[in-house]
Amino acid sequence: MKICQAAFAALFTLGLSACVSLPHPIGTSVGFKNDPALAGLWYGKSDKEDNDAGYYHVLLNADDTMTLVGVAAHTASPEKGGWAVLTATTVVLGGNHYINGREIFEDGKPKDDAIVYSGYYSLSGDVVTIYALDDRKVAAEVKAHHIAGTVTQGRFGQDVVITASAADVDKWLSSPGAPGLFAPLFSLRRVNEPQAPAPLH
Amino acid sequence: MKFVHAALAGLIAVVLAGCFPPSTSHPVGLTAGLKADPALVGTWKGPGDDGKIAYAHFLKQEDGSFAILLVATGDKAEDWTLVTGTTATIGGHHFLNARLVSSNGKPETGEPAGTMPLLYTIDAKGALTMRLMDEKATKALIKAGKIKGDQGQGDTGDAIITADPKALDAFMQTPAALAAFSSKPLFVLHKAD
Repeated sequence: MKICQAAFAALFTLGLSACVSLPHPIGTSVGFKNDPALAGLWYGKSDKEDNDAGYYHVLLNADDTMTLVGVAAHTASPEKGGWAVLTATTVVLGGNHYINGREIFEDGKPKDDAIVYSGYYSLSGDVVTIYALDDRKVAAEVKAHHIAGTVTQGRFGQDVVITASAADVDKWLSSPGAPGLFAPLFSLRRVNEPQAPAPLH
Repeated sequence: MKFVHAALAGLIAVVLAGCFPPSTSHPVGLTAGLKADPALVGTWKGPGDDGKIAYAHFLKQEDGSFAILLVATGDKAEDWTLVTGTTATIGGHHFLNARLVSSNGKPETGEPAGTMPLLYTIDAKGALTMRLMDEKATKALIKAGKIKGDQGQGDTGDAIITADPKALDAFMQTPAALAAFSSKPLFVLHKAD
């Protein structure tokens, strides 16, 4: 998979691009609850490369997990179509909306990758924007002892490892200023579908 | 497992009901060559029996086949289904050879070996219509010796056409074979891209 090719790919690199690792999914200490506002189909298009559209289906499961099916058909390029499936959870902490995702299928092959990508999201009308933790800002938080963790110089920036408990992380991200620790990653637009009339039986 | 969109999930519904649509031991169009029909590539949508829109993503693969993802929509939507397929055109007729792979990540079981043939058209308005073979009509053709196959046990047995690729492709171009495809479409979709 090409990294940063499109919004499609960005979701799967949420954690990697930020170089910030969390010990637990955000919201672990309080429990997850699906956000019905995310249900449905979302659409994103890359401005940079082949203009292919990426679709994201968000399916809400009864157990307060979500299934995200991401599809890039590559209609405008000879490249083969790609798709991936993530299992995801959401939580609201202090009015801030967070999402955790773990890839479980890529192009039909099960993935036993245990990496959980966590981010902040905001909804404005029919647009959802996903944000990832900003390594420099989180490093500053660690150095200021606002949250327990370690900071080391990585190859592409600072590698930040949060070591605080799940409860402390959730409390840290409940503050009104917490969204400021995140940087925008990509935006998707909702695909609104009129409901066709049911056929007569 | 809930399958709330009957049209796109029609393939699945028959499986849940314990019987499969007619299948072929060999894909239709093998003698002409199986190629991914570029007209199918992309995202299609259409209403199900419940009026809700469902999506079918046709994704071309490196081996010339399709990965087809069917995804439900709506408040209670939980289902996604993976189908693999190959396409071929013989005698001017377009065929999709489909095989269910998994539903919600769980592998399908009990499916007959081979693939389910679908006859499809794309009209001038861009509507993609797909039809499965009718079970009774297919069994009648097998019983009449029009094509080699297995009618299955009783009324609910699965019809399997076992003819070799050459005989199969010749048969599928005949009026009798084309008439055996159901008059009721499995689904009618339009491009969403």
